[in-house]
Amino acid sequence: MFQEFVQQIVNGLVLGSTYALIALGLTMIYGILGIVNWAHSELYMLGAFVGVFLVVHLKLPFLLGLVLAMLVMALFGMAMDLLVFRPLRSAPEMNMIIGTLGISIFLVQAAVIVFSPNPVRFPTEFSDAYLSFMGISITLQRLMVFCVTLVLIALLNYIIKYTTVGKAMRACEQNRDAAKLMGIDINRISLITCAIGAALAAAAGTLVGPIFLVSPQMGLAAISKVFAVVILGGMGNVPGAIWAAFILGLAESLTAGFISSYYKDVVTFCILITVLIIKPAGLFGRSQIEKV
Amino acid sequence: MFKQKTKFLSAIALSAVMSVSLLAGCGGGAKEPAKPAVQAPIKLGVIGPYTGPNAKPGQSMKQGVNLAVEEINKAGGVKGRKLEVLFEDDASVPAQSVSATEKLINKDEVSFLIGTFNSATTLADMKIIERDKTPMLVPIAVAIEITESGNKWVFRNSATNPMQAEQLMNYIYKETKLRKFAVLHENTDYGKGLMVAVQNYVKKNGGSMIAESYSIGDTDFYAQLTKIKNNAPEGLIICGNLSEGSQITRQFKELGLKAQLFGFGGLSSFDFNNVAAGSNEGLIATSYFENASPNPLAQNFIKGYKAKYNVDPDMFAAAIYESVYIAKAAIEKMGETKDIAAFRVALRDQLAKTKDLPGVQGPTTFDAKGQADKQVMIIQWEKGQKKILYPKAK
Repeated sequence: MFQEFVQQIVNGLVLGSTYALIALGLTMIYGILGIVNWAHSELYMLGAFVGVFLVVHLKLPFLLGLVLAMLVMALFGMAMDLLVFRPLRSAPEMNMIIGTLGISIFLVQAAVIVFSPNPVRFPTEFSDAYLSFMGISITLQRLMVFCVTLVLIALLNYIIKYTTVGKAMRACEQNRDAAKLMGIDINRISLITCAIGAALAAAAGTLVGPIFLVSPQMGLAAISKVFAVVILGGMGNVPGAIWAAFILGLAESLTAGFISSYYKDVVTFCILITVLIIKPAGLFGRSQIEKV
Repeated sequence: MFKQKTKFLSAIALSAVMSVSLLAGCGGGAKEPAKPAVQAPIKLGVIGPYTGPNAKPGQSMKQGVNLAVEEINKAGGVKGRKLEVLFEDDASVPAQSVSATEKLINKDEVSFLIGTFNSATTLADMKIIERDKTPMLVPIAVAIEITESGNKWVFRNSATNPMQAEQLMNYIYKETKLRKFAVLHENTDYGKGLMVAVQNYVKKNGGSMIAESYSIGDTDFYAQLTKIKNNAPEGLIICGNLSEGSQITRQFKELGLKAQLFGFGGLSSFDFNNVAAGSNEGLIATSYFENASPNPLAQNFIKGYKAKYNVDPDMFAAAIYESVYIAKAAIEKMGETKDIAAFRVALRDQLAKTKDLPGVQGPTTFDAKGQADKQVMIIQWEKGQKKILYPKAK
């Protein structure tokens, strides 16, 4: 019983870190730029395909492939900012939402044409390494998802808190007009934020791809859970999203393990609804008063 | 200036629309008296998941239909009329499937439908075909309700959920000593139907069973598998399709579970073998169609399929290929009909009379509910190859 409990906790933490990785970039882009980026799950999907290309086809070591996939997708994120977000920045909010939805549909369909709709495997040098400790099993690849997630969270935290760019990003988050008046180049901050967000999504895709499968639909399958995480943590709240991801991951795992897998998603979304009723701004969000 | 420009543009647009409708009017007027619509092709609509999690079998469906239609048209069509196939994607989503059905019946005016892949989408579409009185052949979806609902427009040329579950369980109880089972099923009509059939069988014949579920698109099954591991079953029966199935077998191995694996339908395809990559070793699954089949029609089909697509057909391609020929045989027995509605009714009546019609999956005879009595095969994966366990080699 105890062993099963620990195994379910481990399962939940790994699941939670897969949610956290995707949610990080999504909530950050919302927090700093105010964009609800529906295409974020497609950056995750594309990142996974770039990872497959680098690691499986070019036979690069997995960790090098991970870093390169993040760089490639960072460039992609910048292109997305220049081509879609920047032209739409001063337009009404709805245009931006439709714009990101458009990117999402475009990327999924393009991926179906380019990569075919069939799921592909993403074997890495860590896939077949099993660790077993007192009856608790985990693969090295899963353990790595958890560890790299923690490293990326720390790195993101450092960038946002202690660098000049990070300060500028936080200034934009608080008040974009005031930040502009202080001489902060909004276009540059937007570009950097999109690059970081896309790189995080690519990291998620490259890390999660090997433990599941890679397919053009993988983003669509993940997005509803990830939005639940982001909303639960408070829209735009980075630490909130991390906590929420682990809470949901653990809740799912423990529900499936000790109540029934039939109620797994029911419990997840009940938590979400309950939190929204009691704290509409999310678990860790401050409710803001919209100034007119 | 600006205003004038828009005026000019709208004038162009208007004249374009008018000339198109004029042309259309002319075309219709000129054709009608010349010849009644006898020479017009017979349209059939094929609804399947060409995108989404079942896109791969969806593609097999397309290829199977295209091959059958091409063969029939090359041989002169059906009673001199060519077949014209229209594909509509449902992405395995019932709501999308219903709109596809509506479009095919009412806008494209197809004579009959073939589809779909999922039981949930088929069940949703059946309300539309009954209302619009259009026959539908169901080659793949296997939920029992499809032919048990009293809908007289539906005809299925494959074994139902209870049929294939019972045939697999019969095999297990006859050939092995396994009596303690865990079932991990997709939370859909298809997966639940299989689970219930297994449950009923175990209840009747002695043994125990626990059930766990997952949703389509799920990727992590550690929670369910951990629970199953602690229950220590002798056999794990997977009731789902290949995307999730392959991840279940992989995570099953990762968690170090020890049990005989069983599966249905999709888990006997080579696509499953490719994504499962070895984790399917030893898995026993039901199969509707095997390339080693001694049936000459099947061998002919395999040859044609390989020549056209350069791959071996799977059971989805075989089943849907067979259904096109079932429709062809029924149309050939029909008399003249005055319009599309009468055609659909007459076709339904002929389909209902189908008896001992040879096909690639074996002979088809529809019972009063529109269900064909079909026997499934049972195979086991061995180093990426299939060994046929049932029927036993003579």
